[in-house]
Amino acid sequence: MADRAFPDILSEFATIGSSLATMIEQEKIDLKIITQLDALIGFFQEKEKYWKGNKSVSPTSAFALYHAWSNLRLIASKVRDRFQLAEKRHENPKTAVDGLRLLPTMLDLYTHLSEVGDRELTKDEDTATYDGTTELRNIAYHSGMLPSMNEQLREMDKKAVIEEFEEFATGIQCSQVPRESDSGN
Amino acid sequence: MQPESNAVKFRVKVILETSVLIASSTFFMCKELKSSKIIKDEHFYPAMELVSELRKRVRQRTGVYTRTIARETRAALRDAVKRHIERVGANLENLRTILDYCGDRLERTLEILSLEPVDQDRRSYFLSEVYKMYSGLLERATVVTEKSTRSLGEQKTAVTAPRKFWSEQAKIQTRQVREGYRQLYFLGNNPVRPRDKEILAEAAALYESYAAEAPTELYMASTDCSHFSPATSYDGIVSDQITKQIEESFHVKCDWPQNIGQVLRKLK
Repeated sequence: MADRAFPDILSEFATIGSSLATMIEQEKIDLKIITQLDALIGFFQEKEKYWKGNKSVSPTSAFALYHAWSNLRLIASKVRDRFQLAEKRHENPKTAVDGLRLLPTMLDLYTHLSEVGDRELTKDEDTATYDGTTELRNIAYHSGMLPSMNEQLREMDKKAVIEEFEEFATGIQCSQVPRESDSGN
Repeated sequence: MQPESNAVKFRVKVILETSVLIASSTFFMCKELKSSKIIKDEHFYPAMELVSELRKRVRQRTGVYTRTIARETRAALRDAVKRHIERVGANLENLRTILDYCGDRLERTLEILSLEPVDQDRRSYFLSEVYKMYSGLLERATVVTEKSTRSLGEQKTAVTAPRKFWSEQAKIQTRQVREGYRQLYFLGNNPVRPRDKEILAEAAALYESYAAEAPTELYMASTDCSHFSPATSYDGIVSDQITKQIEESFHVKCDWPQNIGQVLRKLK
């Protein structure tokens, strides 16, 4: 799946875009889109796995790329979930409208990731990768297509996340505050 | 007290500097994760409280930021993640979740603040003024050395303490002298980052444009006590040579989020 060429994936995006436009026009959800989304999700997942254990570039470049592919997968999965529940929740054609809002940003991020390929990221590419991911999450949030933290934690070890977070937060605190005795009071 | 009719009514604007935006985003995530270790932290909590206070004042557009601040804050959060990867290796999945949700919190905070346009000509003008101010401060900082502070501590001891307590008292006095000049001492050893100078220049340009519209008090909330907030020691000695100079030169009142929060709570 990961070996699929750039035009193939572009064509997947185009098919999904066209399906969404038809659904909005006809005000009817067509669950055929689930299969189309599954194809994209599978592709993103392969890329995510590839970058998770990748040692061919620096750990920070690998993380930026893993982070971006992972977000594409998570958000595409949330879109899929929304379509599955659309009829039950009477969100027709709102789900299609929200999906169509999100699609161009997903496509932008995918295009950027395809351009940078498998190499070490330059500083600008690193910034663009993170900015593209942030932009995608922002639009997903405002379209109701962002998995909640609890949804995301469901597939993870919450205790380990908390421990990692505490270590991370302590690191932030140390880099921001020269000394513990300093305070506003 | 001035008669009511003569009193000038100042509007209040608050710039949230990078350190406060990062601290509040981290705190919000900490709350969601129910992490007991960080929740009572003296720096994260006040930052979150100030953001909550500004959320109540969205319609007054009290909380503001600039494009530079947003860019620098996002970059600072990502840099923290990179440092974490380099330092401890880290589980990428956990770290992705941390970055995602701290980042989301940051974005939601930016949404309750007003993004202010900055006149680029005035920014350039103030940037050169900011550089001048810091070189003046650096000159002052050159006299704040280990040796000079010890000497001052000893001189103070000589006039205040009985001879038999001199040795102990000199150590205490030296520490107090150093605490009193800590911002300058720190500046002498750690040059101010260019991005902080840019943020200050933008704050100065904003003050100028606000003041042209209406009398304004402009605060900048920061937890960076090396220069953007007064450094206070555990026994209450305040070093605010740089923050005072910033206020004198640019009318920007730099302070801790909890102190600015108090100012906001007193406003009607």
